[in-house]
Amino acid sequence: MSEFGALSIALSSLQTQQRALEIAANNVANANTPGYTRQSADMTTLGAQVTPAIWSTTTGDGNGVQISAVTRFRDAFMEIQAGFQHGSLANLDQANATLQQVQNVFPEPSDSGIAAQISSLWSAWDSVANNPGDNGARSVLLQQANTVASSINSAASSLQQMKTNETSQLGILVTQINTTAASLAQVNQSIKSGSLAGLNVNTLEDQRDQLANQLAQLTGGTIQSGANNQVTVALNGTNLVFENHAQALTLDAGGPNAVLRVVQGGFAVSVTSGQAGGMLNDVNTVLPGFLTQLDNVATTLRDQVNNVVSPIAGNLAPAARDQTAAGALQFGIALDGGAVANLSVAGADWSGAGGAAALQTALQTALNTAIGAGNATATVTTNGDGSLSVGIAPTATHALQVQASGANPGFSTLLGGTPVGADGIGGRAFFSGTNALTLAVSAGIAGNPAAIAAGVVGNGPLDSSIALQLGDMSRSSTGADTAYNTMIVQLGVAAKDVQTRDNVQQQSVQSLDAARNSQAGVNTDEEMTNMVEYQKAYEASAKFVSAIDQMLTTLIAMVGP
Amino acid sequence: MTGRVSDLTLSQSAIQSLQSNLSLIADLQNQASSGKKLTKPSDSPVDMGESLQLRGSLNRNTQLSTNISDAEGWLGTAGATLGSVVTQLQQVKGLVLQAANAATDQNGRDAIANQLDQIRQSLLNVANTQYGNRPLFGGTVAGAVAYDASGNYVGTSAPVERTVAPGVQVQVNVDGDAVFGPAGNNLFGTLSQISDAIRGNTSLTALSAQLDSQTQTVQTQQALTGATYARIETIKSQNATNASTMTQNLSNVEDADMAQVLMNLQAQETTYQAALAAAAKAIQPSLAAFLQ
Repeated sequence: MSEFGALSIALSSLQTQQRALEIAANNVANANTPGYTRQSADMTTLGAQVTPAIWSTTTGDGNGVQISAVTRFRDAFMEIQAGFQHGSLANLDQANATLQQVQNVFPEPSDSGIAAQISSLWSAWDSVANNPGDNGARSVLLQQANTVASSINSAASSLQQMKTNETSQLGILVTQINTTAASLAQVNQSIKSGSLAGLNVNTLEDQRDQLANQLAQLTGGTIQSGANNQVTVALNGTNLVFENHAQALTLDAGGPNAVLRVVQGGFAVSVTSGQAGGMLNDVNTVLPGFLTQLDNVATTLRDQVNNVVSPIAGNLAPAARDQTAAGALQFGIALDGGAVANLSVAGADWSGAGGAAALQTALQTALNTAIGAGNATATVTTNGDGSLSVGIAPTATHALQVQASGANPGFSTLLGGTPVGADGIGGRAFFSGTNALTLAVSAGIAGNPAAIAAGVVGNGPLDSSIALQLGDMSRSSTGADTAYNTMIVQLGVAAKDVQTRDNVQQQSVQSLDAARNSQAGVNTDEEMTNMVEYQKAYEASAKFVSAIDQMLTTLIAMVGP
Repeated sequence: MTGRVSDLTLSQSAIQSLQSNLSLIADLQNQASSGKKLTKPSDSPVDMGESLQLRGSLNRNTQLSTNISDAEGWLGTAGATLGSVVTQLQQVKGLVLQAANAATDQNGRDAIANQLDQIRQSLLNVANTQYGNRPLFGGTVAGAVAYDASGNYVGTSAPVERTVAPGVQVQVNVDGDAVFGPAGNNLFGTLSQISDAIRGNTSLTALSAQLDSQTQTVQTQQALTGATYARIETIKSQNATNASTMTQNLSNVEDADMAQVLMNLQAQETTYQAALAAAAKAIQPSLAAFLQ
C-alpha cells in the first residue's frame, strides 16, 4: 500500500465523521419537531481488495470507512397500532364531547330544570283545586304550563341545532379527510420514486407516517405497509389511499341517516371509528335518540293532561235511565272551534235491554244533524251496575266543544262527567303539539284562565275534581316525570360510560405514544455523546493526514536536491 | 429499545402528569366551591335518578303541606261552627222545655217563640258561614250562601276535597244536607214549626223528638269533622317528617362531604407541587452544560 492509499483511508474517515456529525446536528435541531424520527449513521468498513491482481497485492487491512445507510428509528408495526389507537381515541373524544353538550342542554339536578318545572305544573293544578274560583291560581297554572312547554321546546331545538351544527362540521371534516388523503398519496409517490433512485427518504417517511396517523384519527382507517415504503389506508375494506391513488369522499346528509360516500362510484363507506365515525354516530344515533326520548316526554305530558281534561263523557245511573219525562235533552256542540249548534235528543226510556243501543242511535243521529255526519262518534255501553256510560269522541283530527244549552239539563244529564272550564265549556285539550318541538298550551286555553277545566259539569260550578286528579299526577309511574327522569338517567349512564372509556383509551394512547417517543424521539445527551465520538475520530483522522504529510515531507527532503 | 428515554418522553410525561393532577384539582375545587358532588347526570347516574325522584317528591311535599293547611282551615272552621250550632240547639231545647211547662202563659210563650225565631236566624247565619269566600256547608256552589233567607238549601252535594298525601283525597267540607237535614225536613223548618207550635200552644212532643234527633245528627257530624281533623293532623306531622327525611336523603345524594373534599384537595395540591418540582428537576440537566 502506498502513502497515498493511506491518505485516502484518512479522507474517507474525515468525510464519514463529518456526515455523522451532520446527522447528529440534524437530530438535535429537530429534537422538538413533532413527528421527527431520529436518524443515525450506519458506518461500515470499506473492505480491502480480496481478489489479488497479477501485478498488485494487498495487505488486506481495509480501505477506510463509509456510511452505508442512514437508519430511521421508527417501528412500522407500532405506527399501525398507533393509527388504530388514535382513531379509537378520536372517536371516543367526539362521543364524549357531544354527550357533555347534551348534558348541558339538561341542567339537572336543579331547581329550574324541566323536572322541577313539570313538578311545579302539578302543584299549580293543586292550587287551582284549592281555589277553583280564583282566576289568579288559574293564570299561574297557565303560566307554568307555558314555561314547561317552552323549556321542552328549547331543549328540543338545542338538540336539533346540535345535530345541524355537527352535520355541517362533518362536511368540513370530509374536506379535511380528502386533503389529507391526497397529500398522503402524493408523499407515497415521492417515497416510491425516491427509494427507487436510492435517495434518503427518511424525511418523507416522517411526513408519510404523520399523514397516515392523521387520516386514521379522522376516519379510523387502518394503516398497512405497502411496497416501496408506501402505506395504504383502508376504511373497512375500501382503500382510501393506495400507493399514489386517493379516493375522495363526500358527505350525503340527504337521507334519514348521514353517510359518507366515495365520489367515484357513489357507494357508501362504512365509517365506525375515528372522528368521522364519532360524528356520524352522533348525528345518526345519539342526538336523534335523545330527541326521540324528549318527544316521548312531551307527548306523555300532553296525553297525561289531555286524557283527563278533554273527554266528553257521562254516566246515566240506573234510576236515571228512564228520561221519558224529561222531554228533549239538549246541549250545545261546536266542531273545530266553529259556531255552537244545538243538539237535541228526545228523552226516552232507556232502562230496557236495548236502552244503550237506542240511546247511542239517538245520540249519533242528533250529532250528525248538529255537526254533520262523520265528524264525531257517540258510544253508549251498559256497565256492570246497570248504569250507562255515554261518550262522544271526535273523529280524525277534529276537535269538539260542548256546553250547556240554556236551562235545559241535557248536558249534565247525558254528559255529566265532562270536565268543563269556569265558562262551562268542555272538550278542550290543554296541551297541543305532536312532539317536543311543537308542544304548547292549546289555542283554546292559552290566555283564557277560565277555560281551564278544573271540575266536571255535573258537580257544581266550583268543583275541582279534575284539578285534584291532575295535582296528584306526579305519583304516576307512567307519566312525564318518570319519562323525563328515565331519559336523564340514561343520558348520565351513556355519558359516564363514554367518559370512562375515553379515559382508558387516553391512557393506552399515552403509553403507546411514550413507547413511540422512546424509540423515535431524540435524546440530546445521546447526540452530544455521539458528537464527541465523531469529533474525536475526526481529530484523530486529521492527525493521521498530518502524519502522512510529515512522512512525505521527510521522504521528499531526503531525495531532494 | 425499551428503556430508552428521549427528550420528548420526558417532557410529555411531565405535561401529562401535571395535567391529570390539575384536572383532579379542578374537579375537587368545583366540589368545594359548589358544595355539590352531583352537578351533572354523568357524575353518578344512580344518584341522579334518586335525586330527581327526591326533588319531585319534595316539591310535591311542599304543595301537600299547603293543601293540608287549607284542609285544616276548612275542617277547623267547620268544627267550631258545628260547636256553636250544638250550643244554640241546646239553648233551643231549654226554651222548648220551658214553653212546654204549664206555668208558661201565652205572653211567655210568645216571648219564647220570638227568641226561637232569633236563634233560627242566628243558626241560618251560622249555616252560611264562609271560609275563603265560600259557604262552608254549600259544597261546590258558586254563590255566597248555602241556605237562602227562608232556610232552603241552595248548595250542591258535590264534595270539596283536598289532596293531603300522595293519592289521598280528604273531603274538607261538610254537606249542609247532612248537618241540617234533607230538603223539606231540615232544622230550620223544624225550628219554624216549633215556634209556630209554641205560639199556637199545640203539642211539642213530636217536634221535640225531631229536634233531639236533628241535634244528634249535628253532633255526629261534629264528631266526624273532629275525627277528620285529627286524621289531617297525623298526616301533617307525617308530611313534615317525610320532608325532613327527604331533605336529608337529597343532601346525602347531592352534597359533597366537605371535610373529605378539602382533605383531598390539600393532598392533591401537595402531589401537584411534588410533580412540578420533579418535572423541573428532570428537565433541567443536559450534557451540554458539562461539555466544553
